Order: sequence, then C-alpha cells, then structure tokens
Amino acid sequence: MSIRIVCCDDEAHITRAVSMKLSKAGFDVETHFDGQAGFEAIKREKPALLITDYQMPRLNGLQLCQKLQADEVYCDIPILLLTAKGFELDESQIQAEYGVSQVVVKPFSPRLLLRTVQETLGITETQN
Amino acid sequence: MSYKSICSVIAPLVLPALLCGLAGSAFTWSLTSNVMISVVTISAAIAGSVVSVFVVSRARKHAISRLQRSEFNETDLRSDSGLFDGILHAAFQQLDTKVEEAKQSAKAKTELEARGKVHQRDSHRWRETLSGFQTPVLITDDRDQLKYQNPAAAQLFDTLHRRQEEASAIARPELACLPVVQQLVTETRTRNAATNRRTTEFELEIDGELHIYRATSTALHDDNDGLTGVSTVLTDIKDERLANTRHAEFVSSVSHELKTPMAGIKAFVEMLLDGDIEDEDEQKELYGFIDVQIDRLTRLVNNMLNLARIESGVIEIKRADCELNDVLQKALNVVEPVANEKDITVISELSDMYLAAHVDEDLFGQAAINLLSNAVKYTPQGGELKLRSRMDEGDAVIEVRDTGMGIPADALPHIFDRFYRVEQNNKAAQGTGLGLALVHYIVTDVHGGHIDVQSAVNEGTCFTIRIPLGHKGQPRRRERALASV
Repeated sequence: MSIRIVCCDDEAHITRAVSMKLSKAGFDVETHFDGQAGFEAIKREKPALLITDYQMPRLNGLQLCQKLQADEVYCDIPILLLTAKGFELDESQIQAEYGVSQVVVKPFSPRLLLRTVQETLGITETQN
Repeated sequence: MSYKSICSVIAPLVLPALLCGLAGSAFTWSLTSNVMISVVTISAAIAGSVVSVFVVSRARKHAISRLQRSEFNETDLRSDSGLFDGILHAAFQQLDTKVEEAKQSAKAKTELEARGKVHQRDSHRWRETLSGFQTPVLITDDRDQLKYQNPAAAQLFDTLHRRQEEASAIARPELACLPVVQQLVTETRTRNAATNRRTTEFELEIDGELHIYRATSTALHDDNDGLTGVSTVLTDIKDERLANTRHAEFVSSVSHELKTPMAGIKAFVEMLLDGDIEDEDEQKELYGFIDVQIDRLTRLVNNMLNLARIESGVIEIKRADCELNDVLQKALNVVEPVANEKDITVISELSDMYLAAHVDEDLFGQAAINLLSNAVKYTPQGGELKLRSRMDEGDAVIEVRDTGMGIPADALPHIFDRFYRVEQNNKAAQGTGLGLALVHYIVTDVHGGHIDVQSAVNEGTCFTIRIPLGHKGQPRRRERALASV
C-alpha cells in the first residue's frame, strides 16, 4: 500500500506538479485547493505527510497547521510548508510554533521536493 | 591749599637752601674757625631760602592765576614744568587712565547692546519660524522646566490637558502629560556627555485617531559648552509608517505574484528535462501549463510596467478631443468575442447624445477593457453583461454591469488596492490584482473622474465611472448651464 500525502495549494498548476512528481515516485497524493478542504481530507483519513501552501482561501497554511497542532490525533503529522513567502517568514519560529518540519520555497525543484519528502518520512527510494 | 600740600611745595625749596647754608658754615668753620664767617654764611643761606620761597610763591601764584584764566594749553599742563611739582602730571595720568577705562566701558556697553539686539532679533526670528511649524517643538531649561512651546505643541498639550482634566494640578503640566517625552528630555539632559541627541517613538490617541510620534531631543549648550537646556521635536510618523507598511506589502505581493507562476514553469521544465513524463498527452498538458504561466507572468509584468510608467510620467498622456461612445464601443468590440464563448449576453446601451470628452483614448479604452473583461471573467456561463453611457449634468456616466458572482461587502473597500484579489473569486479566473488599480488610476488621477462600485454576492456587480464632459477649452456643460441662468 502506497504512502498517502495530502497537498494543499490554491494554484492548480502547483498541486499538479507536486502530484505528478510524487505519484511517479510511488506516493498516493491527494490534492486540495484550500486549507479547509485539506483539513477535512486529513480528518477523513490521516495522511503520512502534509504539503501545504501558505496563502490559501478559507483556511491558510499556518491556520491549518495550528488546527492540526491543537489536535492530539493529527499533531504528529509531518508538514512541509510550500510557499513563495519564504524570505518573509522566520523558519525556526514557524517550526516551533506551527509544527512545520521544513519550509520549501517557491520556485521549487520537484526533484529536491521528492528528496525532502523521503527524508522527512525517513524512507529511501528503494523502500518506496 | 592744605597745610600738607603747602609743606610739600615749600619743603623741597627751603630745605636744600638751609642745608647748603649749614653745610657751607660747617665747611667755613672747619677751615677758618671764624664764627663771624659762619654766621654770615648761615644768614646768607637763610636769606637765600626766604628769597627762594618768595620767588617760588610768586611764580606759583602767577601760574595759578594763569590757570584760572585758562591761559595754559594741554601740553603745558601735561608737562607741568615743575610749577606744580608733578601734581598736575600725575593727575593727568590718572585722568587719562580713567578716560581710557570709561572708553572701554562705553565700548563694551555698545557691544553688549548690539549683541542684545542681535540676540533679540534672532530669538524673534526662530520663534516666528518655529511657530509656523505644524510639528510640535518644545524647549526646556537645565531643570527640565518648559521655556518655550510652539503653537503646534501648545495645541497638542491643550488637547491632552482637556483629556486629563488635571492640568492646573500639575507642576510641569506640558511634559507631565507625556511621561515618555519627559523621560527622554531628562535622559538627554543628564546623559548628554554620551550623545547629545536621543529619540523615542510612541503612539498617542487624539480624538479617536491614532498618531505615531517620533520624539527627538537635543541637548543645547552655550558658548562655553555649558548645558542650557533641551529642545524636543515631535514628528508625526504615521504616514511614514503607513508608507513603509504599504511598500513592504507591495514588495511581498510582487514577490508572491512573480514567484507563483515561476514555480510552475520551473517545476514542469525540470520534470520534462528529467524525463519524468513519458506519456505524450501528459507532456502536452505540461507545455500547456507552462504556456499559461508565461502568459500570466507577461500580463503581470505589463500591468506593473504600465502602472509604474503612468505614475512616474514615463508614458506621455495624450489627451485629445473625442467622442466617448466611440472609445467605449471599441473596448466592447475587444471583449465581445470572449463573452460570446461563455454564452454571456452583451447589451450595449450607449447614449444617443454626443459625449464630447478630452481624454487619452488609449488609456481610457484600456480602463474600459479592464472593467469589461473582469465582468466576463467573473460572470458564469449564460450570464449578462451591460455597457451603458449617459449624460448627467456636466459629466458623462459610464456603467459596466454584470450578473456575475459579485464581490463580498468586506472586500469592496479594497478592490482598487494593488494586488488585492477577492479571495472567494480567486479560482474563477486568473488575475494579477493590478487591473482595477490601473482602472482607478486612469479614471481618477489621469482624467480627474470618479469610480464607484456596487455589488451583491451571486447577483452581480456594477462599476460606475463619472468623468467631466467637454472638449478642450470648451466650458463644461454644467458650467454653460450655470452661465445661462
């Protein structure tokens, strides 16, 4: 059974790129266009990893992280924050306050994103 | 003439004659031992002395009478000629000294008076200058007592007093109203050896409005570097803060809007290069994504450049006489094919009147296209788009009305802000968040018009533009109407 990843971004081309790259690597990627839809998907079935944008309608990326942090069932989900606002955010503060594992700055390399996902999940390419 | 002075005059004349007589008698006695000769010698000495006194007395009387008749000139008097035994000479010397001292004193007084006048004039000047400042300025002395406040400061403190309702009870009312400034003044005065200028920033709510002040205190010194007091300037930096915030937001928005399409392009190109996508249809899909994102970037850059060029005056605004309905019809022609693709009914209700205007056709046409294409973008399949124009007093009124998804009330105040996009409508269409900012700038800043918007969610939106009618040099219709009354 493949590893399930939820990806939230209001830009369809970003979720498409992430989905294509990770699916090729064997992950099961579920995409959503806002934080609220992503949260509901997580509640339906707990994923192994969340990749989320920051600026999104309804529920932004950090609000989504906060909701997960506040819930003991989901607070252990590793989170990658995929954002164009990388230089404006204090990464260590975000990691500490919102439980974000790593900030990935846009424009991003799908190749490096895949490697980050694998490292975060503690798996090697052959395992996956 | 006193006894002492008489003695002082006579003694030098008589005593030498007597001494000479006695000395001569003694000498004669030692040579001859003849008493008679000695007596004669002494007698001669005494007689000589008496004659000398008489002669000198007469000469002095004569000199005094000449002096009384002012027959001596200054040179005679200064030289004294022994008539008054140097008394006059000494007196003149003393007099000269006193005269010189008086001269110096008068000179010093004149200088002081001149400096006083300059100081008074300077003081008047800087008081007048400071009173014209809208910025509050305070000057305190070396004990932090307020010595001067300009009208702006007086007004500020007056407002604070009224609010505190305890002005009369406070020893230093002005500074006590603002403890943060009071502390700054004291620190500047007491620690002026380290640095003679200190600043602090603080917020103040006055009549319900928030002000942000930067207080700058500077230690004041006299010519000998002695501290005389502290001057404090309170600058309202609210606009500066706002401008900084807007600038930061602008940079953030530009960064985000540029990076988002670039992220897609970068990702898809890398995946194609890596050979991740083998399926030909998927490859075409990715090329399509890249194409769309490049268009998006181009649109964004063009909008930003247009806005920047107009604002900076790089684009020459070419206003010319024209008929507004022609400009509007051309804009509608551009948008109509896109509307047709979405089965949107386009209704043109342009005025039958000749709407004479003096506008830049290209820019005004661009504003109309932006509004019309927005209406098409946010109106669902089968909706309706209406373009109307009419004359209202001296203005042309243009309406772009659609039956689209509408704009939430909380978003309406922000829709003309740069990079602002209505969150709820984000997915309906691509946009840069600059289109309406450009429309607003063209209508209001370039053409002196006005733009308004009314909207209801899921019912539609209506943008209304109002610009002055009339060709160049012609009185506006409203002015003509008033003139004819």
